[in-house]
Amino acid sequence: MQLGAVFPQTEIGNDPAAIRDFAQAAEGLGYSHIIAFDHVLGADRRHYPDWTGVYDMGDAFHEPFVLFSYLAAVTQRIQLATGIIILPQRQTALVAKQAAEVDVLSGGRLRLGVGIGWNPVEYEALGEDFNNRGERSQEQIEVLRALWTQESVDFHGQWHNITGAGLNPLPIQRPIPLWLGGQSEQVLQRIGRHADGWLGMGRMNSDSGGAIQRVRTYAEEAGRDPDSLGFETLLSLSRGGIKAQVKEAREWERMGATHGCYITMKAGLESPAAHIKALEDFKAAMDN
Amino acid sequence: MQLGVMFPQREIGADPVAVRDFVQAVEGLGYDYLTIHDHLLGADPAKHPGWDGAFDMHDMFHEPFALFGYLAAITNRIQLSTGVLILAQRQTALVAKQAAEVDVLSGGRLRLGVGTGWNPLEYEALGENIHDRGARSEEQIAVLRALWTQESVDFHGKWHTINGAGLNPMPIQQPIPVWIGGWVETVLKRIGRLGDGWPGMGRWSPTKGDEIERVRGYAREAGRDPSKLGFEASVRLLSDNNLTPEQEAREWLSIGATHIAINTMDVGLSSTDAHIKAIADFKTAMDG
Repeated sequence: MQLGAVFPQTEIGNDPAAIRDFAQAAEGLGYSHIIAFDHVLGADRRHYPDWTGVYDMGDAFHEPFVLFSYLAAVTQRIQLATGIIILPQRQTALVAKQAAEVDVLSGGRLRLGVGIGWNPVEYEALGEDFNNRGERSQEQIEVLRALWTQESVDFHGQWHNITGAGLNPLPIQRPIPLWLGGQSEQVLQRIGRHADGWLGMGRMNSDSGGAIQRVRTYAEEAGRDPDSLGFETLLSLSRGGIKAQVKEAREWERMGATHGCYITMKAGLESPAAHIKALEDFKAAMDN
Repeated sequence: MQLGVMFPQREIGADPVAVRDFVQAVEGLGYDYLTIHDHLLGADPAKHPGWDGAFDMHDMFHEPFALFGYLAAITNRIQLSTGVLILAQRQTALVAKQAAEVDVLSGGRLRLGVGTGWNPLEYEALGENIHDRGARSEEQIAVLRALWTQESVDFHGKWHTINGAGLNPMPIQQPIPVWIGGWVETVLKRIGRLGDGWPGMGRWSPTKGDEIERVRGYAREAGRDPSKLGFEASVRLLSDNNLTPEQEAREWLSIGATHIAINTMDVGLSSTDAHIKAIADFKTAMDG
């Protein structure tokens, strides 16, 4: 299992040196990738008294593309993955351009995890339609891959028009690997048919292994090699501590997970150094 | 006087090491800032017979925000400036977010030059309206400043709706300076009313002094202090006016320019070292 570290977005703070230290520590400890979550805006609870979203404007989120090019400069090897970028609230061609730029500056180390999000307040502020986001994201994926693999693109879809135009520079990876987040059966089908992997497979339950198998089957039905797909679970220190998470990682691995990414947030860690120490402890426990 | 360098977007290539070497040379030589052009897509001339735009898909443009994340990590002092970012083809809230992120990671070194662009193919591919770009960009600037200075924003304009949402982290500079590029009188008025400066004032001509005075006048009419505005000229290594770059720079300074950027593109320099040599020579001449 490839072991990754979730960038502790909401707890690391704004000191660029601490951000550098965390990424370099993850790389130095032998983690294979760093995952960053994405939110562009947070909602003001005073404005939404019945707010039940996981995050609000009090939670800091570094912007993944800018953050990753910063990390590209201070690391050598570690893969940089979004987990996930809320794709339908962003302009497709700009996502393609910025992803390509990160890929170029990092020497081909970007993996783009995409999802459709849940926060209508963000969609509104970004001027995008919340209600068609699932369907629209499928067309966005087609556009991304066209822009990453062709110097000149013509695309005329329901939501996108590109007439003889292209990106320069193109990314190193053509195309950049695209993983999908989400748990509905529709998403599992999309992954099997179109994606390079499934990211954030939800909390382990009696259907976890079955869901992985179904994605593999959807891939076979689409004429694809299911072994080429990645399956990444999120592990969290806050759920029962290290031992429980090592055990959970092993179970996921038995069910077919290829990647596991460790979250150190919401576990009461109070400094960047404490997050680094937690990565060290988990890696040691997994290597045992 | 602030002395800057235009990043040689179209000639430096895609090697991150060359990019690093060039930008560290800019800083090491004692320049005050780096400025960068922005285009997200280029036109395929084969698909657009008679294309007469200044650039096409064969011209490389690094994406400014992602590039600046990288540059923030490998420089310490120079200001990072867009000259210009085509604001009206991007989503305002995402520009605000990514600019804030660059500002945080660079310790408050971002200056955002914005303009309206000219390429309908880019607007089409990005799904934005090219026809209202001037008026819309004014509203965009208001939204940017609201998002950079208020934790929670309510904005209801002609093109933007934000209901109780905000950025986190906020930028170091609250607000980030916004310079407005362009040459028509409408833009000069906009700079006087709304801008922190005028980037890239166009080709040298003795009449430019009158334009600078008009911008200052528009600022006064709007109740603003014209001495706070910046005026940037970019000078080329070879121009058609029989002046050396240094002479041209001094002409600009004599009519009120506050910033001078040297542009080393389009004269056949064939390596990163040649671009570095050219900016070193210009710096020596200006210091002499």
